[in-house]
Amino acid sequence: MDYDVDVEPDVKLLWVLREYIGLTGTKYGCGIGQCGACTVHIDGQAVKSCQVNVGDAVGKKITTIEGLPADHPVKAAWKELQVPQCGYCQPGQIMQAAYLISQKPNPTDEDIDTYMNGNLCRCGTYPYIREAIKLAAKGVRKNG
Amino acid sequence: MGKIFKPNQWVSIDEDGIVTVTVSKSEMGQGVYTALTMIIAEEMDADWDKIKVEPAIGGEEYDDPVSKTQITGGSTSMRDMTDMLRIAGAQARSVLTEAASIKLGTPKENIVTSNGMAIDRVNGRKISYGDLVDTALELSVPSKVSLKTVDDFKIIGKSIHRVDVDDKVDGGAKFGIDIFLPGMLYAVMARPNAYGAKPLSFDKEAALSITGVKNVVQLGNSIAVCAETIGAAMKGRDALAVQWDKGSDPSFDTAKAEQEVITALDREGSLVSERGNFLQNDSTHRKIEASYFLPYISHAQLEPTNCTVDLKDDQCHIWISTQAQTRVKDIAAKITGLPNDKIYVHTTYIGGGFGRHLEIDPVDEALIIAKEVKRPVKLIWMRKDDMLLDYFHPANAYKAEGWLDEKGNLKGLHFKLAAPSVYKRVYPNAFINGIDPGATESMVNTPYNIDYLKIEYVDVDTIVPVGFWRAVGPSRTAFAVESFMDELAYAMGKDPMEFRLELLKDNPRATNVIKVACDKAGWGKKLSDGCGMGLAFQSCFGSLIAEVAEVSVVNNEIKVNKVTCAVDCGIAINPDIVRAQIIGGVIMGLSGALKEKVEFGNGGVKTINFYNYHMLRMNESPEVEVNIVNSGERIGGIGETGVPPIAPAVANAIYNATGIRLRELPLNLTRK
Repeated sequence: MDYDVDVEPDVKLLWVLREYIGLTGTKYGCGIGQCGACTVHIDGQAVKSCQVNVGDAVGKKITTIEGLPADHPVKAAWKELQVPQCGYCQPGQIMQAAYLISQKPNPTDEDIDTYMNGNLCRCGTYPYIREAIKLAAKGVRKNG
Repeated sequence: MGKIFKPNQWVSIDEDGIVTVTVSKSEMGQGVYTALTMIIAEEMDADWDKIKVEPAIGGEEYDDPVSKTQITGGSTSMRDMTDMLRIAGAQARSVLTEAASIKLGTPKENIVTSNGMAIDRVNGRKISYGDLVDTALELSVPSKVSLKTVDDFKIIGKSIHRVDVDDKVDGGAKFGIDIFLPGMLYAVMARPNAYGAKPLSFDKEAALSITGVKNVVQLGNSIAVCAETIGAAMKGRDALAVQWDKGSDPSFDTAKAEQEVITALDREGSLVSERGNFLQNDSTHRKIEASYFLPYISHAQLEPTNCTVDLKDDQCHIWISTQAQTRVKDIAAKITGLPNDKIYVHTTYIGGGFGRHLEIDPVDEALIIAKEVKRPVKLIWMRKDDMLLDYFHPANAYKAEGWLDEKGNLKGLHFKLAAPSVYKRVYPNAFINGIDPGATESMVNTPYNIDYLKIEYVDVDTIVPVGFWRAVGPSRTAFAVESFMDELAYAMGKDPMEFRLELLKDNPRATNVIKVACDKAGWGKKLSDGCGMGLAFQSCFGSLIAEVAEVSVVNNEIKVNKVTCAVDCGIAINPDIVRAQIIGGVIMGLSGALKEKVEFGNGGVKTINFYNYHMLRMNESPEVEVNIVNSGERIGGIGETGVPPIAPAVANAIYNATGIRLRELPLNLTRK
């Protein structure tokens, strides 16, 4: 979907996605790239959208949590293992996990630590996230 | 719109058989939307696949029956609501049964209900709840109903998938910050870092000159910039270029904040409780002493505080991630002058509650702004605002004394606690004789059978605001009590588990949780060098919990490898939810134990974002195992229960691994 937005180019992509376009799945947590709640994919890379000026995102392919397919293995694993608690950090966690699996189809615990360390969860769902990433990766490997 | 049968304020059924359950408790990830709905669905034999859940908007009919206000906290939702909701579900079933007997022309005794259907058990004829609605509407709702027995439960006790998870995974779940109203203005605040600082000057015109900025409103010592877009509001706030004065205590820093609390221990305390007899001067007793300190910590819930309001002449609508709907209504009524029944509180999913949203501070800000700008207002606090304006988990300083006789029996315990009081501000009527009743919870009523127990409390006056942080008093007292129990055990060469079990001999539930946790953890097994195990136990929130932490210490780096828990919450309504809450509580408590500390400087909070306020991340998160002990006793709370034991369990494990006793949080072997 293409969006035309009347906004100054130095407004952060996070706010444009949320408050100008209305895709509120991507969340604001800290604004300084420390919590990962704002994670989206830009041209296939996981990026913290609070760190991107919207002007620099023009013409790029951006995927938000709403755009990740409903049957994506990460979403399926998250639902099967009932990962979210309050759920506020989870879109960012899911987008980061989807990126991790695209880079590491058979992630080790160290891979999970490295890729997921930028995503805070205050409710403490890390053990569930770790299990769900492994489950999702298995699903991807099984289905090719 | 078809007919709807609504036997009470909690449940309704439409002619399609859709059952709508109204929930008065706030969903902040602890699973209440699901667990409370399970209670009703069980007693009314509803079809779970036809259930919708809605947050309550209303008046006193949604008050918690125990606290007489609409509030979510203290791990009380299931304890307070279960009886009432069982009756509500049974009322629905009773009327539907009567309606079925009429429609099927068969005596009521022949009707059984199951999965949204009423069935004549003699001839097998069935009728769905939806098809009974019109008949049900003609019948009266009984006040006396019969409830199911535990053996008949089909839903309660099962790990049913939560009603909110799919939306939270797909990204459609709406939190307070996700609300939009036509014509609304965004409000972003300029605030000082220092407590009590006032604005000396600010450039209102510069802010107003930003395209999209419509108003600049001063509220006390803060300034709100209101704009049609969030981008303009943030630019407007920056353009204000506020000059602040130095605040009420410019020299206030971390050292002062902590010393205020530690030195308060030297003052005379108020006696909280004293039970038993003891001769303190008995020289045959060996005295062990220790001091403990826990710093202020932030809630740091991931969704920053926010509030969206639509204030009209005759009514007011408020969208907010709140744990305290009645408080929201009361403050809104005061500010707007509208009667309570014209204030509508729309409770959204909460992006982390933890006690922070028992406070209603964004409400008065949003409403004062709305009164001024005469448009709907979406007030968003930036992360810095949230960290600056937190009501912190109070710092606690403890002095502990224990007396052991020559056989190593614990004869007496004395704890003195100094801490700023939360109750003094929030429940002043309960702050009597200088005692905060929450601060010493689980210490005062410890199940340990000790001949003599004396507890004193010293209130501390401070500019630091304090509030309720997940597990409140118990999460603080656990560190002092359970660390000290280990110190006593080791002083007499006793195994820490055996030492505790001796003092809980007559308490089978407590004995059981400790034994299960220790057994599952492999207590007593040989560990490699630098590894240790530590145990902590607490009775809190009507439940009993024991946690065993297994740690390894390499080059003074503490790594928690595994935490093994056993929890007895009487009856687990939804075991997966219980498991998730205990694990979440352990991880959050571990973050407090290893990483967190509010720093102050220049008269205010210095830890204003996650670059300098550190919390646990994936790489430090251990494996956590939860064993649910089904005692079948009275239901206990679990939302906060996982938190208290983890800090002392880890401190005890570190001692076991290294011989070093850490008595201060965050636990750190590298600090001098």
